[in-house]
Amino acid sequence: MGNFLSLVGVENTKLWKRVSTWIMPLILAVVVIGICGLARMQTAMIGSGSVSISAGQSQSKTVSGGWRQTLEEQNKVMQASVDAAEKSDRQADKNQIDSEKFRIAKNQYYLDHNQKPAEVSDSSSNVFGSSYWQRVMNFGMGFFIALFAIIACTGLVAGEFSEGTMKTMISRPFARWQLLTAKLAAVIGYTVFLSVVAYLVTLGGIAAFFGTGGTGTPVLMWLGGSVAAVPGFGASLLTALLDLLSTIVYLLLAFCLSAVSRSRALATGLSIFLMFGGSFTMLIADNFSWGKLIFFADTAFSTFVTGGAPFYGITLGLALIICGVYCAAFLASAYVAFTKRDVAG
Amino acid sequence: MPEMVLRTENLRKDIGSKNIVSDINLDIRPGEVFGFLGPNGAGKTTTIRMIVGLSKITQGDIFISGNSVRSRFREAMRDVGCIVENPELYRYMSGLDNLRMFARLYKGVGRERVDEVVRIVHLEDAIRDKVKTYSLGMKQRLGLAQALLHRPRLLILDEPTNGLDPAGIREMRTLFRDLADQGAAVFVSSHILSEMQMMCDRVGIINHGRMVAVHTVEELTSLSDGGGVQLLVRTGDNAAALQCMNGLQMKASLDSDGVHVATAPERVPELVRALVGAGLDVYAMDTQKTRSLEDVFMKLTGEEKQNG
Ligand SMILES: Nc1ncnc2c1ncn2[C@@H]1O[C@H](COP(=O)(O)OP(=O)(O)O)[C@@H](O)[C@H]1O
Ligand SMILES: [Mg+2]
Repeated sequence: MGNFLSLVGVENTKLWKRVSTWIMPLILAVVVIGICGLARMQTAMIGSGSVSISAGQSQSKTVSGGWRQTLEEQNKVMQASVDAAEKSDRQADKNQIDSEKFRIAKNQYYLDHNQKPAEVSDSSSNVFGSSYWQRVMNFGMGFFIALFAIIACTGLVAGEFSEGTMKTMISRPFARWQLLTAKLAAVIGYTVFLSVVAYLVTLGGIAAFFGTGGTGTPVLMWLGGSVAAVPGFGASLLTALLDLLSTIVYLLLAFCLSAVSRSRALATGLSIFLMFGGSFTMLIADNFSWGKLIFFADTAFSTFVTGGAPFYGITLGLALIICGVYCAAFLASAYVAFTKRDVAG
Repeated sequence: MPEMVLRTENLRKDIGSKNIVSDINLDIRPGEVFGFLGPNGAGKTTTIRMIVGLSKITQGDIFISGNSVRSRFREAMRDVGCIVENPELYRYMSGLDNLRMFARLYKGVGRERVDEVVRIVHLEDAIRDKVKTYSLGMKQRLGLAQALLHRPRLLILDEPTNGLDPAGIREMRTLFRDLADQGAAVFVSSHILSEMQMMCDRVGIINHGRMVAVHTVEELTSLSDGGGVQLLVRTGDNAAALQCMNGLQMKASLDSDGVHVATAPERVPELVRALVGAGLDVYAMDTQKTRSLEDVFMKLTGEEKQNG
């Protein structure tokens, strides 16, 4: 009946008429710039010390046969530890296998391409990495984005029950599932917006505080069990996209809790608590193979391509499937609760 | 016969195992102001909540302009504007932002129409202020404005006079008449009989979740005063006046404020002549307020028992 796009527009109006909706991306930008500035100061302060240490290291390496030999020795040690881990019966021993394999493969890549890895020699490397795109990719704002997305979502979905305005929306020429879908579209749109803001400010902040050195250096990523040299821009987009997917998992959790509990305070509190507390399920996943079935352990999607699987027995594909199943359940319960139950008023 | 704007068929609502309303059959025609009258807790809000889709229908069905609320909800809601209990609008937005936002939910409701309804409810001065600064009366007006935006064929208002001053109530009465004259149907609930008598064409009475009766206001008026008038008469000698009334076979009683008498309207001149003829000085004759809602219920439910 009514036009669905207008309905999405209406939900966006509700969202953007709240002051907090404008403040959250601002905070995000300030935090990104602030962290960049602090990290720059830190690098400047310990700069002289670290230069002399790394100079000494590279000297000793030069003496003992150059960077190629260092990498080869590293690989021998790591391969031995991988072999030992694969024979072990305890899962706890096996968790590092994928990330060690990635490091071995990276070293092999440098050896094959006769390319001196920046990490070994570059005195300009710091907490965020050695090249522009490395720094951009290592700069994770995922937690803040998820936090703000949850706040916006619980406001738009549960807030309308808490504030009593939901009844004013029900008697309109739209089905209830359309009302909920429009809200979902609006909060996903806002989450994407926050991610884009964080990404763009990070690009600018890193450039301003650390310069754009190494922009042309491709980034080595771990894609499907082999190393791929990906142009920096593409690599950072891929990580940003995977981080966005992680955020959306928590967003859908908050969406579900909002529609079911109809209480903004409860939905916000519980979502944030679960987001924090959920990371502890990683400890379970470290020790038990069923731990990965608790989706919280699997949501660090970008880690798979930037550092290797976080624990044994999980792949990016499997992590996405497990989280996808949970998300489907979150959506199903949200829609059932929203369409079937009476609205107070 | 014109198509009914609103029709309910054997409507029933249970919450848990408790029956709240049952067998509600209503037919509301275009061009009428219909009063839905009943004491607190009778089931008025429950019925209205089903009509506007806030709560699920346990049994029966509702048709708005022929569209079933169960199976053609969106089409049905196109023709409805409503306020259920207190109007809840977006407090962090201005009144105007609220209205412009709701306008987007309907085809063909533009900014001119928004300005028009703001004028209709007389909210021009405050329309740019945030709703959180509004008084209850102003919120009622804004609620009315959002209900009128899309020129609904059916306007449903649950106890709309709450929070309005007498002037506001009078304005609302005029507005309902205008809307009805333009062919809309207005469905208003209330627990105040005298209010319903003033603003409605027909009144449906609900008690304990069931329809007791549906009457035109004329029928209701004669029911509520028993077809007669009640007068308070003050004379120079009230005891003599009482004797005089008893002599006319009128029901009268002496009280500290005067003599109370109930009689048919056409016998009032006769009473006046008798009092004057008896040489009594008549200082005042006041028409007493009509009977309370409870009296009408007693009468109606009493009738039902006799019929049943
Ligand atoms: N959610 C509910 N659960 C249980 N009883 C309810 C609920 N809502 C309303 N009632 C009961 O239904 C009856 C009718 O209420 P309502 O429709 O609000 O009356 P009215 O609007 O005529 O004053 C009341 O006795 C009330 O207590
Ligand atoms: Mg009520």
